[in-house]
Amino acid sequence: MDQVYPLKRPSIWHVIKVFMRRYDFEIYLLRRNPVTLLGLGIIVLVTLIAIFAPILAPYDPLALTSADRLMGPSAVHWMGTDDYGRDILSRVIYATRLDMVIATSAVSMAMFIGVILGAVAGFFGGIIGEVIMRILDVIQAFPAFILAMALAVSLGSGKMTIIYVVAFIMVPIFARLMRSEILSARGRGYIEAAHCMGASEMEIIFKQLIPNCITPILVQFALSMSYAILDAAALSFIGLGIRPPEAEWGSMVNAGVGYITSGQLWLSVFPGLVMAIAILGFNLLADGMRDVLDPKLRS
Amino acid sequence: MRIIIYTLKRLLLLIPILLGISIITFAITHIIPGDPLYILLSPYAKEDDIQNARVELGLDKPLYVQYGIYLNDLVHGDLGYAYRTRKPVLDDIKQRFPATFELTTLSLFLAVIVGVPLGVQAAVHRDTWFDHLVRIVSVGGVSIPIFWTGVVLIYILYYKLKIAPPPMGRMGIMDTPPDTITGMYIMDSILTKNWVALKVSLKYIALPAITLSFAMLAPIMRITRNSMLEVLNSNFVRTARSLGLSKRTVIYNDALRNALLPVVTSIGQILGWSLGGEVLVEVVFSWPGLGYYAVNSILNTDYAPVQGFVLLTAMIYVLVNLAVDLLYTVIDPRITY
Repeated sequence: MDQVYPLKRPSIWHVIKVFMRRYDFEIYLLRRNPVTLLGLGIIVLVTLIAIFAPILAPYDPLALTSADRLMGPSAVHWMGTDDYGRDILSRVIYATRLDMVIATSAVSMAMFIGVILGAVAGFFGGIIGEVIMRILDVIQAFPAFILAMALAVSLGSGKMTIIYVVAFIMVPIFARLMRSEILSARGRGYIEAAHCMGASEMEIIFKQLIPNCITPILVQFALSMSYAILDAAALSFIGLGIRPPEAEWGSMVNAGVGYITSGQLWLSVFPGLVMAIAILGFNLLADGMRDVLDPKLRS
Repeated sequence: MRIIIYTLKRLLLLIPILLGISIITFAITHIIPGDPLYILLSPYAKEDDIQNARVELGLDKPLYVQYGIYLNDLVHGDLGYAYRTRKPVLDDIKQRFPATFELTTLSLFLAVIVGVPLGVQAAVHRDTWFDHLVRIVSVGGVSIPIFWTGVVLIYILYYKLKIAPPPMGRMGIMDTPPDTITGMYIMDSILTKNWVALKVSLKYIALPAITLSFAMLAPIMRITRNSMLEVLNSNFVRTARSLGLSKRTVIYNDALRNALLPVVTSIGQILGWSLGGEVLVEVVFSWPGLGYYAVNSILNTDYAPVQGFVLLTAMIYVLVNLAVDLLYTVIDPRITY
């Protein structure tokens, strides 16, 4: 008798393993590149800080203690206190949470909208594609941060404003990238095969084209995270985003600017330093991923 | 001849872009939640007065008519009225533009003269400690928020070492600015041979310019390095070397000239990026340029200057990018349109 092999439903781990095998070579290259791993480590650390902010923060970030105004870094307040006697370390930890939420939401939103717009523009072309691309042209005719400022002015301050504004200025980047990927993938054999099998255009876009073009988009995601953090903080720095007393990196740096000329450096320096490290993490990761994905730059 | 036709074509294509820009700047003041009149008028204004003001400012007309009026004003050089300074926005902008222009060009100049040679050396000494250092600096340059760099520089150079002047604008209160010719203090001091003013204005511009150029330096170094790497591997470089030309000659005479094209291309983008950084640097150093003006207007809920500022920067950005595209043909004769 022939042995009968029952068709087993593959476990989720198996699916993940098979999926990851597609990236075996990339993972190998990543592992050889310590700088990229450093970036990844920073991102994981920052994310953990953001998630566990209430546990990690030693004080209430909003608690005013007028007796402790403007104290330098010490064993009690590691990063010192600000002009209202609030603990800067606690505020930086909560700011990490807020800024990471803002950046992740903004970039995800931009990626979602951009990928769809780019896919549609690339796949259908014609008038729809042309209209989409011309609108993106106009958005990109503005220096990004200036446009963000203008939009933030008209939407009013607040967390959601920053998210929308930062997402808005980033949509064209994702849309353009997606469009060029789609244009180069459109003529491939597997698309033709899908056509022959009777797949609808929407099915081809969402099931074939987008999954096959997603890798450069992911690199762009990491890179855009760094810009999103910078832009969000910069908007708050000029008083357009998060308003005090809520803790945010940019507005914290701004609150300390007035104290620099009298030597109270810690008000500005710590929030800015943590922000720079977080941005560095995303830049290093994106940089390493780009080297991995672009064989021309490999040494 | 071809280049003229190409230029004309590009100028024509500029029209829809400029219209798009004007629609967005128009929208800034018209999508503000709430009635703009409540910002302008006192909260105790009577209903009649509000109605009169609405008619007077044309806010009772449909949106497309208002946009038409706005566009008409723009074409006639009317950017609106700044309530904070009690002057037409265009006058304010004219007065502040030289300060911004001076700071931007000086920073870009600094970034190029430092960034290009460093990028070249990094490519030549690829994968050595120098290359890694350049890489660290360039990743750092895009990671460190520009306003934070400014703050730290002020602390070190003004508060600790006391070699920089306070971050209080273009000159101290006691200094006399040079006679106005261009409005740029450095240029004016040189033109009027006012060496005292030149020294003071150089001292005051140094810190903001270094801060801004640090952010521009990173992309310039990176692009120079990458494009130099590509060129160094090409055949003509190998040929030149095999003909016995010295390494130095080949690098600086042959390779660099070919590697510069992407650098020039990127300058348009870097400028667009730095126009945002410019705003932040001006705020940190109280530099009385356009960005400082715009931010102060925002904080005082005076929106016409913001509108004018956004419109102007977008137009400058578009024109610079056009100029860069046209510059291509001059630098690289292989490119024809």
